[in-house]
Amino acid sequence: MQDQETAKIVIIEDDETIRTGYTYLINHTSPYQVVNSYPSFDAAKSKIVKDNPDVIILDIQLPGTSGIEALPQLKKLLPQTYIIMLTVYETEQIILEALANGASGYFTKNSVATKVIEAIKEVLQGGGPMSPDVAKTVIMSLQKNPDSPLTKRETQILSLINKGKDRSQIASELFIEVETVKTHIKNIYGKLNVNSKADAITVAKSNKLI
Amino acid sequence: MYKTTVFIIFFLFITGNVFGQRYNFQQFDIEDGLPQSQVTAITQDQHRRLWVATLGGLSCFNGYQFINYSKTNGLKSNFILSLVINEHHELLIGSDKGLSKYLGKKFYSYPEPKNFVSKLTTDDHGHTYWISKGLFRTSGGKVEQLNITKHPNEIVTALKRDAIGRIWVAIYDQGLFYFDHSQWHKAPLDLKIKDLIVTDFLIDNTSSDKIWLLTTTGVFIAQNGKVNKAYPEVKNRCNTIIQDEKGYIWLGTNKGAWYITPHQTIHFNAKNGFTDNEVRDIFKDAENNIWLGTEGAGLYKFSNNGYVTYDESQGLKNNLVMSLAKGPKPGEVWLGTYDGLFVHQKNTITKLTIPSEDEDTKKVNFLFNDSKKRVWMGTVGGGIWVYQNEKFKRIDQNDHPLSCNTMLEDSQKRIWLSTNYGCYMLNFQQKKLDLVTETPAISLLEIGPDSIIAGTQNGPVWIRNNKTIPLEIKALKGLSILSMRKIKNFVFFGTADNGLMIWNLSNGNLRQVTIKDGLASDHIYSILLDQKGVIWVGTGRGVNRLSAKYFNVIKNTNGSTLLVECNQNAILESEDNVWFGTTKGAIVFYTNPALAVPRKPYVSINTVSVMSQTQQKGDQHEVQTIYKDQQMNEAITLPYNYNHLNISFTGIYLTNPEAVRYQYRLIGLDNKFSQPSALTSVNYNSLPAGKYTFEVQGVTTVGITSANTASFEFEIEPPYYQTTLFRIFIICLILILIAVTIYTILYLNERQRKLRLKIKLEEQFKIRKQTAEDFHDDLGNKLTRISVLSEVLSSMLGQNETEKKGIIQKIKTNVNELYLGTKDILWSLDPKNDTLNELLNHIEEFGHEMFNETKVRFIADIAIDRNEPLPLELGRNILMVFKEAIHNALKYAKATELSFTARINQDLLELKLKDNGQGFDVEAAKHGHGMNNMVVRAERIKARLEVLSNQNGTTIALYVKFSTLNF
Repeated sequence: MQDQETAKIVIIEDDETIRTGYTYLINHTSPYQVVNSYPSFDAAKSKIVKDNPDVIILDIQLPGTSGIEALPQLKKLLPQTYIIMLTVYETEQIILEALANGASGYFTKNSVATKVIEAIKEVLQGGGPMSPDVAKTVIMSLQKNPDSPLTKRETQILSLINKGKDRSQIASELFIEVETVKTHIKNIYGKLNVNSKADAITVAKSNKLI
Repeated sequence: MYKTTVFIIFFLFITGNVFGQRYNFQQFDIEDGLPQSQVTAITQDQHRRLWVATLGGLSCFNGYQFINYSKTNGLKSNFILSLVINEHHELLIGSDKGLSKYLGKKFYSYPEPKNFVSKLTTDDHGHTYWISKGLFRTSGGKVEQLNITKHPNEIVTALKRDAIGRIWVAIYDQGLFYFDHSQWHKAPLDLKIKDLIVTDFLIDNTSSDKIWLLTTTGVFIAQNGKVNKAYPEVKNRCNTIIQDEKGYIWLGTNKGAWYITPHQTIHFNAKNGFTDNEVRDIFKDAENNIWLGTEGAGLYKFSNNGYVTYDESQGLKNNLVMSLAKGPKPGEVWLGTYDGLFVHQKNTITKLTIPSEDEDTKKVNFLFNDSKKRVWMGTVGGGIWVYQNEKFKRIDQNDHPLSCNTMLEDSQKRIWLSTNYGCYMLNFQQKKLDLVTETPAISLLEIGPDSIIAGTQNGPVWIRNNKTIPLEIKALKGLSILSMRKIKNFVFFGTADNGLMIWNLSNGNLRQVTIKDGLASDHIYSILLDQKGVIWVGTGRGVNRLSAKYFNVIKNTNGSTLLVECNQNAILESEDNVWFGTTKGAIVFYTNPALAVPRKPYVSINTVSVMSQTQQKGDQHEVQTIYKDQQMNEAITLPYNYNHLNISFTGIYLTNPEAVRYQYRLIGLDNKFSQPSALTSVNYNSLPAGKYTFEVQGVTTVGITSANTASFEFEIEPPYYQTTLFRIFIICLILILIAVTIYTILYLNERQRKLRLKIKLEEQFKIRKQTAEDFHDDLGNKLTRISVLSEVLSSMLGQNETEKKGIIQKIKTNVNELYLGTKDILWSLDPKNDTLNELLNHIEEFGHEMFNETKVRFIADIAIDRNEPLPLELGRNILMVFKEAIHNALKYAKATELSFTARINQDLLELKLKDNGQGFDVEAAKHGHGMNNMVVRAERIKARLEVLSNQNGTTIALYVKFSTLNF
């Protein structure tokens, strides 16, 4: 473990301006040292182990291997390195995927440089810094029950039921037959062990299935 | 029959035997089908069938044939003594072994009585009376013996039902009793009754209080209680008595029958067409025919057809009566036959002897009365004779053989003779014949002075001034004229084959009457107008009467058709009779129109057979159902495939069975009666479904329609595919199918349209999303560059270059705002954010984001859960209003707490932003750009914006009507 004060940073960012901007800012306004920066993972792949950074600032939208795809490879190459995502994406799916793949922090690009530098410090101290909106997305996603017995389609249908739609409306919305909707509903009832629409919604809501 | 005459002279004298006339009796005996010749009783059922009891069984007669029943059919005995039809139209049969009832081909025999049953009768109250060993009555199935006089040895000799339904009995040595008002009453008769053995009696319908009593010693009449012997000429033991439709009396005795009218008393016996055998029963049928049951001679029918016949059985030597004339004595009629001349006087026929040994003088061809009461006689080869001063005298010469046809005395008393050599006139002075014309005439007629028509084989001609001129009537040319008669101002020509031609002398019109108009034949041999104004016509097949007014054929109401061939010009009116000479003797008609009530046939339907034809593997199976009597009164409904019907019927017309024809129709199929036909059954095949009434009526050959019309109603049910219900069902089905088809087409179209719309929307969504992402990535990166660059620049500046740093900070702030702004645009571009929930979340997020790095506490309180799509415009404007408000609060309020609340109050969306800042002058701020913007946006979405501000804080509230939310 390197001294935290002088931790080595690698930036993987396709935009040259941002890359050099952050490099400058980190080098000049923080105790950390940007040891190298790459325009893509593919370019970094072969050299990054030699760089042996403490923290990698990783963009998602990259030419070739995307940041999300690169995450597990990086973790494999550098298991001890913290990775902070710095991206314009803030959809729940990408955030969760990134976190699941081993990202230690997640920031949107509008974050000021000081916040990013603070985040480097935070991860080095073992924290998980995030932009406030990212944090909120994560929290909200955690509020949903990941162990739902329902399939994606069933959840979808149950949500539509919750919205007050009838079978034919659901069928036309999802481009499936009414009979198929019926079968799904039957399965939902079976899985939730209920007999009515109202009960299904109540059970689903209380178990955060929708 | 034509006649030819030859002139020969002879002498003659009178001789002959006495004979009477022959009446119209028709005999039915075993050769006609009667089971036995001893007829004991006669009755008639409701179908007008005649039931005849004999000592050899029972027989049913329908006019054509006898159907016989005996012990083999279930009768107790063949020795039948009495018959009666009860009030239920059932036939009861009394035999030597008890009482039976006819059940239609079978018989039921009552257990009681076991003795003989004679003189059977019934009353209207269900009682049956009979004489056995005493008087008996059944009442409710029980047999009781009656003792009316309470004498132990009461002997009932006669039993009768009177015209009003009362039961009468004659008790030997006691008198007559009748049952009335549940009591027996003794008829008030004088003591003479005690000595009489009454065999039968009759309560006269025409004369009140007159009772005819038949006894073993002749006829007695009780008038007003006084019993007197009557009609001493009836000496035989009397058996039975009835009264006919005119109220005249018929008696059956042990030697023939008697007919008693106020004018005459006739004894019918073997001499006048009946029999000398004992008459056991006399019966008047519904057509008023009189039936007589005899002992050993079977059944006789008497028809008063309005004529009597004189033929060989009454003394005529020959049935060919060729000519008729009045005799010289009053009331005498002379009949010329081919076997001599006969005279009729007071119902007897006597032969006149012509004083000649020449056999040819017996062949009398014509007789002629002249104005001097002479009788002229023409014979076939026997000469022309005249009878004057009770002497016959031949007037022609042997050497001058003429064939003479007819004679005429004109208005100048001249005698004309028509011969095969032409027409002659008798010259009395010179005792010779003057030839008038050589044209041979069959008949002669005087129209006026010196105006004689001769009827020839080649049409009528005028004889004027010894010359012949053809009549100027085209229609008569070439016709064979058989007879002529001038009646009033008309000349009647009787033709061969062309019927009667009637020539109107006033206007020259000609009218023809033929078979089509009702004549029996188109050969007209004789014409006569009687004193009563009726025209009589003798034809080749019978006699017709014509009305003198309209010359139409008068229908023969008694229904009989006498089939005889009349002889040429053999016609004569004598007293009230018209005589016709025919090939079957002389027929004498009464000119008095005696029978007023026409006799009508009665028709009944016997059976209806219903067949169905079902096809089974090529075989035709006929299923047959037969309906009879009672069943036909019920409503008969047949399945649609049982539509082949055979209906058989019978018309009973005892007066003249051969004359019955049938007319039928099937209402529902055709409403017109068919042409009269002799067939007694009709077939209808493959009748369509529907209601039918079969009707049949009888009509006689002379046009008398039957008394009734027999009918039979039935219905053929329509097959299921023809029922209204089924048709409605099919129509409904078709309509439903059409509706379903239309609906399906519309539904599919709609679905396709929705699908397209959806795809389009999805496409739009995708584009929106793609646009948003691209925009986001590109713009985000670029803004990040500016932001990073400005930070780099800021870090390059020294600590004291605050002015430059301030500018860089402003750049940075603006970039950040722009970044957030683009996020807003991107947010709104994303279709999934088009809901109220997302909108409110977004405002909340925005609030958090704005106050994230400040010390102000931002609280959001959202009590709304609406996922319906929100119009883009509405959402955008609400968002902008609150962003502005949050911005303002951040910039100016100096509050420590800010709260955002969202509520739905009935149909109003209430959004409030509240701070606890210093407040501001609302009026002054209104003109500010920010505030103005909010007002404009609120107006744009028709929402109400309220701004309240004081030193304790500011509240900005936006009220959006639900309806504009499009929920």
